[in-house]
Amino acid sequence: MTALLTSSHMHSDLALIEVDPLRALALQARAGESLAFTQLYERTREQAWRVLYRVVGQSPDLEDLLQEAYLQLMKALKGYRGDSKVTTFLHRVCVNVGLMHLRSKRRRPEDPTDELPEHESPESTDPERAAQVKQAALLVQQALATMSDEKAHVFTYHDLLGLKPEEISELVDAPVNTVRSRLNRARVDFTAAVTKLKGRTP
Amino acid sequence: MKHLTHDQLWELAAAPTPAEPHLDTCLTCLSALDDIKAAQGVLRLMPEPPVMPAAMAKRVELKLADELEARQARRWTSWWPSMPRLAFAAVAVTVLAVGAWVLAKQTRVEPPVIADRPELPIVTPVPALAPSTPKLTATVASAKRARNSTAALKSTQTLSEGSALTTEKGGALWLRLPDGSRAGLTGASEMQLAKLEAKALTLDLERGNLALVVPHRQDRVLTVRAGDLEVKDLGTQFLVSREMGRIVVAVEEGSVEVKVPGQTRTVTAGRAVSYQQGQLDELAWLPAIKPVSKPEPQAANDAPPTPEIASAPSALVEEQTDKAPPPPEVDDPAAEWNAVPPTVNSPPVIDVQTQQYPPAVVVTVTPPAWFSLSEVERRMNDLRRQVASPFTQGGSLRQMKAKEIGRMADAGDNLNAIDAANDWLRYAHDPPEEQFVRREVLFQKMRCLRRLGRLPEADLVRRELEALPSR
Repeated sequence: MTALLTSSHMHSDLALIEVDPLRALALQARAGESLAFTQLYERTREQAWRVLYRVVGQSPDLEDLLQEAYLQLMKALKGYRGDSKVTTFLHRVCVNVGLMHLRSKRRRPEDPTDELPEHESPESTDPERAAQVKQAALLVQQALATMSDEKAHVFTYHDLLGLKPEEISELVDAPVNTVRSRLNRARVDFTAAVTKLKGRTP
Repeated sequence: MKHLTHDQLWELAAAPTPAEPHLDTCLTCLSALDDIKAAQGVLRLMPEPPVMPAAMAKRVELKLADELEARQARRWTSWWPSMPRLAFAAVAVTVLAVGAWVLAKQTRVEPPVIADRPELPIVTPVPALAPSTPKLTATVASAKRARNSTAALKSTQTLSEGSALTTEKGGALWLRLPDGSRAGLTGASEMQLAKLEAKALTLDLERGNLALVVPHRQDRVLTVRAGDLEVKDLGTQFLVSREMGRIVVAVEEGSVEVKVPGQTRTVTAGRAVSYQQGQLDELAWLPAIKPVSKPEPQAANDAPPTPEIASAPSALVEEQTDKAPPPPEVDDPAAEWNAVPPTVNSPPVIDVQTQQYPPAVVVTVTPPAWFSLSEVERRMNDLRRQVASPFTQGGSLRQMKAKEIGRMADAGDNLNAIDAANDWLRYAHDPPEEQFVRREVLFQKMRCLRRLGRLPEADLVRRELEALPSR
């Protein structure tokens, strides 16, 4: 019986590794292997970058936020048991870092350097379009900063990152219906915030 | 009318053409729908994330690598605060382990001996031979009716260690010991040359009288043993007598150390000890009276010596047969005596000659002519009679006073000794037993007078001494 259980556990682990090849790297990085963590960074940095970009927009703090996200991932890996996808784990960390940044940014005066784009975007060719995009990103960021933590997370996961309620349920460790209810309330708050913010804007 | 919910409006706003009849009649819901469309429009304006800049990716990678290295270092250095405790624990564990190992080793049971194990030969350590001490010999200076265990002794005969020497009644034997000392054996005596070594000379007196004239030397010890009594010379002339269970040691000059079981006593000139049945008694001893030299001319009050005084005292000169030191060394005893300082404790004449007595220079002592063995025997017999006399053994008041006079003279308290002697002589009666004590008191008085330079008075005392009948 013990041998069978062991065999079944091995099969499940192998299956998980096959499904999520990042799991092995995450486990090795948890054990303190620097090379494994570096490889994990190389394979996931684009995803992390995209999540952060969607949350905080085009910001000169992206580089620092990305670094901070991986540092928090490094800490969070100590509690990683290998029973979830590494990308899900990474999304949660990055969203948390982005939202924390938005809240802190809301409390401090606006930094003019925030408007300095580092890279070429498609909108940069059309100044009006670029201004609209910039305005839209600013509104979203300001709206997210006014929302509660639970609503902001669910709203970000669903309407910014495109995750399904079932996936969000795993990320926020809550039932799907709770996620749906939390998402509905988040949308109300977001709409109100955008409406309010748009009324202030000239 | 029931309004649409926010989620329903959110779905309608997302639709390209919202088909909802309620919106045609409800301005509230229509206004809300417009807000939601605006919010969704903002969301749609959100830019798609561009490709992550490679430079940023590299910078973040480097920063993460640095951070990983730093955390790795902090992981090790985080142990540093607890290092002292860990080090102490490690040391304690090591000490306990070593102690347990030592105890286990000490209490380890010896493995059983294998029966067929070949036995190693037992090597008995051979004691190293002590360096042999060169044995010396004694030489017969003069012999009369003396013999060893094999034959009669003759002059210049050499005697080795262990020789047993005996003299018949009326006989006499003088030996020259290796260190230059002279040992005289009176008649009817027996002794053995127990040890003749460079640093130790030991003579065992079995019976009779033994006279010794010994120069004091630091490089050897001369011992005379008589039964339980042991005499060590400290540079002196002394006599040892052993008869009828009684041992008497009398010191002529210098001092000796007398050792008996339980006590050791130093006996000086003019004193003697008697040892019998474990009891050691001290008594006075009148050394041989030396002939007084002629008065010195510078002494104004010195009376001229009488002719008989100036001559050698025939009564004290030993007979020709037992004159131990043959005269070649001293041709004129009287002249020799005159050269001696006028003190009784003056050392005897010493001749220095080099003999085969390595490595030190041999000091040959020539006993004065008046130090004859016949006189020694007579005086020792007197002493024996004195010791055996009830008068002396009883320790009368006059004898005690006489001893006190001798002690004062030995201590150099000349004036008090002279006064005490005068008092003793003033009330002297003349029993036969007291004549010997009287002789001693007179001697001590003469001794002190000479020390004070009162030579005429000393001569008068000497005449009185010579007038006393000798036993």
